Amino acid sequence: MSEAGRGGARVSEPLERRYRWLLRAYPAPYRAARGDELVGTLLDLARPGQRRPSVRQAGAIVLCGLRVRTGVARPRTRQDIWHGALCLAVLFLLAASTVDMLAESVVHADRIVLNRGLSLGWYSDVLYPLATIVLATALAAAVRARWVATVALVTVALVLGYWAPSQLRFAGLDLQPVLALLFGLPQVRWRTAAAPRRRGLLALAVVAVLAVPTQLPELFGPGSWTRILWSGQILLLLAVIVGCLLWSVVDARLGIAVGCAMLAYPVLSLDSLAAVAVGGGYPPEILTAAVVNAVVSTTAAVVPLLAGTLLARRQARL
Amino acid sequence: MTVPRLPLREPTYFLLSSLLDGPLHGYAMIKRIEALSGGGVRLAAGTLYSALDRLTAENLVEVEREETVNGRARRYYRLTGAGGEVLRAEAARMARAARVVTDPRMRGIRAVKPA
Repeated sequence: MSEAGRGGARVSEPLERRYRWLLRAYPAPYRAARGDELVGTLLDLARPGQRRPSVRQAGAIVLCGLRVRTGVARPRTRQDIWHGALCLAVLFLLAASTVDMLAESVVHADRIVLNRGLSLGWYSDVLYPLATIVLATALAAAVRARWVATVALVTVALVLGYWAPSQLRFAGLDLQPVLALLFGLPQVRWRTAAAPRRRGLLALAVVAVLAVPTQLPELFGPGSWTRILWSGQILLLLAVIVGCLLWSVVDARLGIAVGCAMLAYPVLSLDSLAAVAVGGGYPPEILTAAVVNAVVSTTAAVVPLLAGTLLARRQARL
Repeated sequence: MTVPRLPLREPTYFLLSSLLDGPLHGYAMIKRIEALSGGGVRLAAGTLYSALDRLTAENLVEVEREETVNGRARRYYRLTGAGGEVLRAEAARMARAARVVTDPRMRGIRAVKPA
């Protein structure tokens, strides 16, 4: 029994205050229902004369609070975590593809308006806006957990991409929808209903627009400040990945989802590296850049995936 | 209400076991779980209450009474009938699994005759 428990109420006051401050990590209704009981148990567990929570204890309180706040503390098995993670991966991939296609549509429209000679024919003129609409509809279907519609629409987008002229092949209508289809197909059977809340959707849209590498910088001149600012986008993308990696401690689904969604990048960069290495005749700096690109993109996909997998085991323990 | 899936995870098993001899409050439960598991399972307070929320939703555990001791709110939790059944089913499952190691006759059962 702690000192406070033996009547040392004054000693426990700062400790209790600090516990109550840490409990702010929990949502207000939960604190109203459980706060006093939780503080009572924490004070019972305290060492005699303890005046502040240990780092480990503070971390555990905040972590549990964030899990309750984000709804992660619901009953979950490792299987549930993986189903939810792949569902999130589909959302990430479709958001990235939609933004990518939207950027292509804007850039292409800009080219046509400024210089009609750059039009690549009626198919490509129609392809960009059409693919954007199809992918956006697939994203909306995935958010509402309409998995059959999602799979059907992504297939349509892939068919559109397949018939596109070779110069229109890019991640937005190539690898990312393939991965979305791959991770979306099992959802038809699992019927995962892990649609994010409105705030989550807004965050997803903002992150997709800002962090997904697209053709949008082409709209601006080489020396414009917008383009210079955009050159730091890779840092933003890495920051988002690191943020998701850290949040995996609270919710392992995010790490797995980001790892799965990022898989397109190592595939593309390894493909480029193979082309440079096999092709030969490239200056050494090109080869070095290809190697760095392959290592960074593979790390960016594999580390969150591995961390999420390990944390999922831990989070499904209780 | 969701139906718990066997096998139970170790912390859940010891949490339910801690209530076998009667209702306990949070602090007592944490200490009992630690003792029953030989120090192998040490639950943080937040983890305990997350588990209690889940087990209450699954109707395996329920609040027996609430009281205030030394100005601190305490809730006492007890095992429900369903909780006891699940715990016994898990214990029987583990006992069967243990017999494979401890009882030579269990190893005598052969699905395929050796050549």
